[in-house]
Amino acid sequence: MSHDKIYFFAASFALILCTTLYSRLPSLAGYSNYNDLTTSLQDLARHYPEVVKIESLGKTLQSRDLWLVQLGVRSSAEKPAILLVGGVEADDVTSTELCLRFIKTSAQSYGRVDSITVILDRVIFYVLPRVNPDATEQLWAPVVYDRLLNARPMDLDFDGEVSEDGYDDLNGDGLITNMRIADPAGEWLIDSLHPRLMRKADPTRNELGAYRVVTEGLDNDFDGRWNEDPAGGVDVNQNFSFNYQPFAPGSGPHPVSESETRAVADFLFARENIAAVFSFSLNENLLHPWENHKGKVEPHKPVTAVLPQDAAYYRFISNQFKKIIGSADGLEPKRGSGNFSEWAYYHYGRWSFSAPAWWPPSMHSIDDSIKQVVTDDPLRQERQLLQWTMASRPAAFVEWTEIRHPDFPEQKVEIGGFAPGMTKNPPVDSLTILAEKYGAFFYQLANLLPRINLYLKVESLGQQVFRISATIKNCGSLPTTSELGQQSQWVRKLKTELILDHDQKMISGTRFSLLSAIAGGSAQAHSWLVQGKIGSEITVRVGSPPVGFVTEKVILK
Amino acid sequence: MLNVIKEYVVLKFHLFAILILNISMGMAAELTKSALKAMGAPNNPHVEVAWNRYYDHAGIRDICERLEKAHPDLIQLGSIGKSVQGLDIYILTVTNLKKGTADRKPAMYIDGNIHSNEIQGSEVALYTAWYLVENYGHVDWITELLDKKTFYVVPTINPDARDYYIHQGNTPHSPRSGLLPRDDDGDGLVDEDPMDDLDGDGHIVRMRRRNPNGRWKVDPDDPRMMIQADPDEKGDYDYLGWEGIDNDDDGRVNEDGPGFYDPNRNWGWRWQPSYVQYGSDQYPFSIPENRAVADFVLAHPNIGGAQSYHNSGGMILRGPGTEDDSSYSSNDQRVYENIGKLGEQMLPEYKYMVLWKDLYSVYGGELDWFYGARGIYTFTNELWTSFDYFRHVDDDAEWFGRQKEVYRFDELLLFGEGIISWKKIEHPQYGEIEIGGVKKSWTRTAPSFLLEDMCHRNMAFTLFHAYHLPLVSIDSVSVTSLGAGLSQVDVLIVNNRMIPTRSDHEINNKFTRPDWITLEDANVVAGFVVTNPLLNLTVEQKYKPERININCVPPMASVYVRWLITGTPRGSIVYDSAKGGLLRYTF
Repeated sequence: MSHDKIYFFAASFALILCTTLYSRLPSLAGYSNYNDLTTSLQDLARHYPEVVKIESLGKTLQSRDLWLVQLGVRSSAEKPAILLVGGVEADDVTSTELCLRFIKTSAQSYGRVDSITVILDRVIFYVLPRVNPDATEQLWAPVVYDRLLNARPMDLDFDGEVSEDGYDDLNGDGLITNMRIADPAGEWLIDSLHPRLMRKADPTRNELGAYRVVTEGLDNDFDGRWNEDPAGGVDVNQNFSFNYQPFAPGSGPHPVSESETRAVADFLFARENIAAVFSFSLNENLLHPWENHKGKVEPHKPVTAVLPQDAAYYRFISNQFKKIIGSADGLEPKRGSGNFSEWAYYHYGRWSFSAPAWWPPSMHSIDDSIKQVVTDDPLRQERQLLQWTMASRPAAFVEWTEIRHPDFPEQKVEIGGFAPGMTKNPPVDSLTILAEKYGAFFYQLANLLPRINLYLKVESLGQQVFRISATIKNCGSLPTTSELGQQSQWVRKLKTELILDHDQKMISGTRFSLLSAIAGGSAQAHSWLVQGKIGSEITVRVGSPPVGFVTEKVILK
Repeated sequence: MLNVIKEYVVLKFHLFAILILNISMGMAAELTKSALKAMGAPNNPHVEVAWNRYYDHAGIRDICERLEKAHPDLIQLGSIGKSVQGLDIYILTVTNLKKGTADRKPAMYIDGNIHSNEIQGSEVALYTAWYLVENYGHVDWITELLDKKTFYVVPTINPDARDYYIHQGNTPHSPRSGLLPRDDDGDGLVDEDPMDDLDGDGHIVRMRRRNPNGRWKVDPDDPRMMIQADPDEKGDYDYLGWEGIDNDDDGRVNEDGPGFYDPNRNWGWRWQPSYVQYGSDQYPFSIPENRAVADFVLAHPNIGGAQSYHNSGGMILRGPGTEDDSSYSSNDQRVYENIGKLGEQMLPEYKYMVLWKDLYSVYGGELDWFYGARGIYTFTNELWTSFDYFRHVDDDAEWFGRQKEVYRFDELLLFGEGIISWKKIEHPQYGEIEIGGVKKSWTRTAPSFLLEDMCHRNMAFTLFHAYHLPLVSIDSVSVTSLGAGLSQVDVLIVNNRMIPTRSDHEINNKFTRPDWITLEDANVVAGFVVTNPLLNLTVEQKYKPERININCVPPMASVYVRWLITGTPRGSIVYDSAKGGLLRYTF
């Protein structure tokens, strides 16, 4: 290490010490760090013991609990459940806040608001408010950055050294933003419309790049790359098995390798009653529903697109979502490798819905002057965010300021850009309406789940032989099993069971049988022949963990 | 008293004489007690093991413990984790523990029995450890191998279900799975309707029932065999499947036994859910035994070769398991082919095959994870081939041998021991039936007198695989003064084996670190890889020039690096490679 760099470090360190005295991110005030979250959950469990139960699914490497909340009355694995997951993207703390508010509102409303009471009697909400807490905690660290990686030490650039080139807070503001380095070899330009933003030069328009853009830091290991191996190892949202990308930075040594992902997967597989999963993320399908192009199940062919029957239901739920929450123009959905929301559908076999917790309001509602910006503008989303940021909390954008950088002694280097934590999390007091809307959507989702009614009929065939006919009707909107769920070993199908006493005898039919999926509003029939004494009783039980169970009795007559 | 002393002296003299003979004449070691050594196994091993039977977990543990006790400098017994039912998954580290660090030597990983009924891989693996340590110091080739290389031997990676197979009623094909309980038929209950050993003999055989309208009849050649009636002929029997009853009263027989998943579809490379790849289970490494192996392998980057043993069919399989896996470069394919073809010579009528192309598609297989995720050259041998029955080549042979051959072999060489003749039994649901057929320990596993042959030949194949793991040396170091206090240091590093220090797959996908050649204790001005020493073509490494990164030392080839240094031309060359070992040379 050169002497230059050592002095530089010392100077930066002194600056850090001075500046840690005040909170560097005033606009994250009111959001819960890990301790706040733990306290809130414990308080909720204490205040509403009938409705709220908390447990830990395990510990992270840094010994934080992976909290699970069971929201519902007399929680039972025989009641259908909806799983809500926050913090899948570790720099998103809004989702945790929305989860907390949903739990609190639900618990307060139970026994007071009829519509909510009915739902909580019938359905369980499992809530995982923050699934990558070690990474999320970086938003409250002395040097803040948008961290997605958990605490596993890992050699992300495969150079044989672990975490040897992380970020460095060069301007001492406690925030990691970007560096732009004046360099004729660079590919970036200052955007002419919004000079705060950097844009890739477009050679087809005769544009030439004049800057390199990298994240704030030093080339600590002198390999010609900046910040390519920071602390931590695995992004929970890249570590699931669907469309897993081996060797990608953050994807982990293999799918579901982490204490976080494994705890989540093990919990989900153990809870057969989970009917639908909702996760907050940009790998969303509620603003842009998954479309079917080629989804089909064939032996030995990976399924990579939503199955056609399911696509229709994804569109339907998306419409419900947009009606309640609104839509987002300019927001591009992500299809990241190894992400949770697609995994929950393709590999866990459940309905999986996802939407970002928050996104900046549409551009034209803020600034008419840029309405004319073309739709294929690569900066569309960033412009929207910038407009909103400058109008609502300008401090969340760090203005470009020149610094001296030891790696670029002859070049002009400036530091600036969106402050970490600021692109996904609005001021906390603006969440009230959003939390209400999300709550309404979650209750609506519960109302749309399949629900079965069982109608029994007895016919006497003489000689104490009776035909028992059952009609099983789905009174909900979603089918009892998705098309993909029908294929999955891990999604239980409806099972009918005829319970006889020792004097009764099955003449035709089997004690158990499994039913194929029943669409919303449709019914299926099933019958048995039974020999038994007139006046004796027969019990029929139908159901599955994700749909719930119903039991009816008939008298032989 | 005097007599006793005299006898003692005589005895001592005899021992001394034998010792002298042993030292002075190599041949004498081959004549011990009253036997002439046959080539191969030692005559007087420290650990006596009968290689003509199949050991359960306790038996394996006993052999492992005795080996460790007798050869503490060559073998170390450990455990890589626990099975579902809490048994240790034993591992033997076999190498000259006094020479170098085991975990820094190029290493070969060997396991068996991932499919719990495919048991003989454990015996092959154990035999390998035994043979190596018993021959160390006697056979130079083995001595050198254990000085330079490490073997990690895991006799069984499915101990629960191995014991279940051995001690409970099973067919030659069951249980295959491990014993993590799973609901196979979707009724919400786990493992509630297994096969049932109706007569308690430890074997699950077939059930048949007399039926004048059945479609099966007795084979006129051998009354123990059933064949289908001709299309225009009436049969006498129904076939009712494997021995068992409908335990859960759902109208189905044997539909939910212990397990079920396929442990060899559960690995984290190109894993697919069970509606695409049957048996893959919940997620990669959801099965604890597999995860223990993966964790061990991830923690041992010195493993460059691997072998897993299955049965049967006589195959030397390599990946890829699926057609769409494009990770195999032509260089890597050549390495596989060189070793695989060697195996074909050593293992009569075993075929070197590419899994997806020559057998069938497998997502999430063990051998694919070893190569795909770690770049380890890996083979799966399918032990036992129908050639072994009467040793004639039959290109259309059925997987487990033609039925007629199996029965004839049983009649002529096993004197009828391998097959249970039909016998009457009362079945709670079917009434009077008969049960009979092949014992679980016949048709997929070798009979006693062929087992040692199988162990030795397959071991030899893996020893050559291990032999060809990289053997790197710092071949030459030369220092040339360039004047003005500047010197040039030229270093030639050579690999004398067929396997490179990093596979092409690793190099192309950059998922392991490069090999490092470092010049220590010298003032380095610049460092280069010399790409063509004759034309003096070099590539400068600007960052950290004292530690040159190279992709690998290629098979039977060399790497040439150069430094410019100032000051006294002194220093140490350190070659540091995960799979190629650690070397130091001071000049």
